[in-house]
Amino acid sequence: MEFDVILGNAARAGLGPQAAIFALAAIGLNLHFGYAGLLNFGQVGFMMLGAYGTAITVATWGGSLWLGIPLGLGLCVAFALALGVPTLRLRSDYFAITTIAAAEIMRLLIRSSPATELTGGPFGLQTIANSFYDLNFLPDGRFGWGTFTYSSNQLWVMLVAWILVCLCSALVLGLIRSPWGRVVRAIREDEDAVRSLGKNTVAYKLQALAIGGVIAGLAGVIDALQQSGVGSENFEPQVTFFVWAALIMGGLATTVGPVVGAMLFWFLREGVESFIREFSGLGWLPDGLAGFLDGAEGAISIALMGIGLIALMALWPQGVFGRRRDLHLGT
Amino acid sequence: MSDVTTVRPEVTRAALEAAPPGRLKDDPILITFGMLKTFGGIRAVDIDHLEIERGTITAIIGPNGAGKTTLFNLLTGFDRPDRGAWRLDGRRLDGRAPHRVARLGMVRTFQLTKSLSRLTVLENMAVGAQTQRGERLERALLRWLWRGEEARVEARARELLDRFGIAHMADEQAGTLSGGQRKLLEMARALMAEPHLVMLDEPTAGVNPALTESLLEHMRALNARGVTVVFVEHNMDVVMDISDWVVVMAQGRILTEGPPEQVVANEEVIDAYLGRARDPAGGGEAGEANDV
Amino acid sequence: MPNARVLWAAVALIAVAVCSLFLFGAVHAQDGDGDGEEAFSGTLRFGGEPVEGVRIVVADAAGEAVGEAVSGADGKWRIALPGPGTYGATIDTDTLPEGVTLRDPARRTLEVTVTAGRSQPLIFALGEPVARGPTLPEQLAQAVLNGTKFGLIIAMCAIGLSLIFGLTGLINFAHGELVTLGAILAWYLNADTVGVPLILAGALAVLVAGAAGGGVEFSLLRPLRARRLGGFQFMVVTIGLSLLVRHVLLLLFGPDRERYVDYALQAEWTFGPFAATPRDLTIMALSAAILVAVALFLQKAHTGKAIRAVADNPDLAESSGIDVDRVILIVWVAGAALAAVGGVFFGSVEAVDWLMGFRLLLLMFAAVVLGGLGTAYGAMVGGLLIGLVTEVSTVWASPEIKAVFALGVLVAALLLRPQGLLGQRERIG
Repeated sequence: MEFDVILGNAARAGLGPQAAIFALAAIGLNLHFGYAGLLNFGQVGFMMLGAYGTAITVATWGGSLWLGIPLGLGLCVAFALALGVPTLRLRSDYFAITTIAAAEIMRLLIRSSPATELTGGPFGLQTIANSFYDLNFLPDGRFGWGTFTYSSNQLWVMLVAWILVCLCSALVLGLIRSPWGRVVRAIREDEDAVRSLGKNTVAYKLQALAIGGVIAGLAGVIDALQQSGVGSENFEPQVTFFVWAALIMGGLATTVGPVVGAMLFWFLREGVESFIREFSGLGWLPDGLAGFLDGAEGAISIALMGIGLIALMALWPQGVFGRRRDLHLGT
Repeated sequence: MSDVTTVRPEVTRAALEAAPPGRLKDDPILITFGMLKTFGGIRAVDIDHLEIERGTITAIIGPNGAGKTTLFNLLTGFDRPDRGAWRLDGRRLDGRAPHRVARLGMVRTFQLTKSLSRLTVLENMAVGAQTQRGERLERALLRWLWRGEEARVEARARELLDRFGIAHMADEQAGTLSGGQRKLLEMARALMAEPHLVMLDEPTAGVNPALTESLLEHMRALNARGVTVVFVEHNMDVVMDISDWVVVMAQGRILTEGPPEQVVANEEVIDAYLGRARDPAGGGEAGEANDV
Repeated sequence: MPNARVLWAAVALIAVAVCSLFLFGAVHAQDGDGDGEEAFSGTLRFGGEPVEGVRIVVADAAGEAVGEAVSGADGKWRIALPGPGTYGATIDTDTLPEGVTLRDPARRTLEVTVTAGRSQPLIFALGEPVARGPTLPEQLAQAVLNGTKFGLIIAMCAIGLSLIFGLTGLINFAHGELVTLGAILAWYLNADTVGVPLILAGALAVLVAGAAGGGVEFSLLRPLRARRLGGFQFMVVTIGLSLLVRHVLLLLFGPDRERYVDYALQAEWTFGPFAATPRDLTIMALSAAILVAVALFLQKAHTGKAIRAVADNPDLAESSGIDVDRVILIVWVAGAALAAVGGVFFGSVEAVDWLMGFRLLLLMFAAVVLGGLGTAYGAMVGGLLIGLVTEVSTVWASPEIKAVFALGVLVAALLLRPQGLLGQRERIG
């Protein structure tokens, strides 16, 4: 068993564009739930709108990428308003159910055959990111060493993605430390108390939902650029759960929590999968087991993640960077 | 004991007592007409006319289920009546959202204290301020626009905390406060909004006698600064001690109203409420048994 | 020591998972169709029977033939493709058996794009050329019948979800997996090597699923409740549980859709505009009977009344001497068993696959919110409505998006009557 290979793969995944995409989505979700207390289970819907808004503009309408990205992010704001206006008055469990439903409605519509002309239906849309890679000022060739070798374009995506992660973290930090953020955190604690003090809580929640949604939309944009395409199978409800898992691992209502959580999530996921691949390649395993493990590493790692989430909640519910003290003060 | 005549010398006690129950006051800050709220066929609140005199301390009493908290919820916009209209200082409040009611100067507290647990005590106070324009999203990142106001808000908050005797807790998380301290914080926080009228829902419930005395002291001091106080109370000693005016509710209606000593002498009130006032479980039955 | 109990529960879950891997590993290894390779595949059926010996040819965009296959005894065929791209698959109508024709002769060649790593299913519809489509009232009547069938099944599945919410305030994201568990267990007993009759297999599966539900409550959730975990943490626990169970089932069962051996093929009985197989009618009757039984139980039985009392006000119920923990355990066992019954019925009507419960979960959510979170009757009414809406929508809209209508109804219901059809408004303060 080659542990350096496993570790290398895991670290590569933890630093890769997927981790940055998850970090962005988790930063948005952290604003939603960690700070504003909004139980959003439709985060993948925002990612999908960001990605598809961009891709449709470029691939279907032949427009510019630089028009498509703001359009995709604008769709995220529209989705936040459409979702929030009717449901933010309701109890948080209703909000959770509505958001997961709304995101899935959109995905089913996007992948349906009547929508094929616009969205590519089940086939998605391709070659959308040329103008993004044209901006790549890094020299051609391959960089790095060993497992950590990247092409110029891969490096370019990672560079942009991680810069966005830093910018969005700073944005959320600045907002949360402002009087606006104080009201938002107050709403998380007790909405009625804040309403009784003259604050329009629904407006604050809508704003938080929209900002967090746009950050998730950026995650979707990066995903589309990274793959130079979009496909509806990348936006299944499961993705929202994974983003939740990353956020919870890192710790709610902290600045670094979502970023570290996302890196940890991909590190562990790829680490486990890599381990299983190495393990199933060992010659001495019984045939049944080796055959079973072959190709099963994805499902096994997610199943283990399920166990991990249960154990985390039972033993260490505040996450890696959360404060245990806060947990007992919460509702 | 505070008297309305000390706050507003032009209003004499005699003039107040001469007004018919449920009717006109000399200088009402709050006027309510024809308010009805039903829950599944039960009339939770059914009030033809209610006025609150400016500058007074008014107690609302009544057995459990009399509709006191529902009335608070309706007046402050937290719940909507089936019908009814009410005005604060001549401005219509019906149909207004709770935050608009608060901005017009009517601020409430809650029966179950609502402290913002994971915010510090100081932050709790700052949320009460109405003057911080950095609370608007478009200004949030422009620190220089709200820094000065933030300092003023903090100074005012510390001063109020000092007055309420919890200044030493200013930087602690509010969730670490004791129950009594939370009551104090909630009242102090309401004052940050600089209200004309405060509505306190059972301010002394579950508070020890020493702290009760201090809370009452704060209510008097508040009143002395010209703030009108309305509060729901079960403890008759407190009511007798502090209020200028008492409104008695039963089964959603106003049974009677008047100065405290007049109300305690009222036979109907004794029947409906006072006889079993200290027994919350029996209170509801008492209300039902006496058809008013 | 609750801590140790949780750990043991986790260890037990892992142990069960690992043992099952060894038990069923070999089976799955044979089924595995090697993910990651582009292919076309499909099953040819005529009147429900598989059609053997039909040749299918695939050509790439340039018209170059890249592969061909002949359908097997089970009607299945599969053609590996050289890579992602657009291909045309043509069925050789000369090889069709006597009397078997394409339903739409124009669809002899299907042009389809395959994305990387996907095995793309293709359907060549065989059957009588359709002379006259059913009229709109006929379609509607049939959709109402189908909708009632699915609605009854959704209702049965959703009762547990709603009652568990009512009792503990928990949105159980793992409820769909109880449905899948029931369906897959019954399939192993019935269709795989074991060959137990479906009715017995289903009954056994329901018992196991009920026990699993009770086990989750007893060994995982109850100790956590004792540690005063917040509502959010509980939700995350059920998400973890859902990910775990779903993917263990995927590992054991594989990614394909399967059918039960018994009652798989039946001729439809027609009554005026309605057509239904005896199997479907039996399932509808059984579902209705079970729902009535549940309602009677909640209304008349001592335990049923206790359940409603706890759902109404847990603190009051506790103080009036009801053993709340016991009531919650009963609801978990019964709710899980009902979900498994729904799973077996659903698997029988449609097919069994590892994701069926999760897909159904969104419809269950819709049903429960529509009817009013926390009430059993709300789940029943909501389930029926959701079933009807989804099926009736197919008369006008593409069946791919029928779930959209269910979820649309959910959102509309939240706007118009947020407390649900049978729910009550809450009071503040």
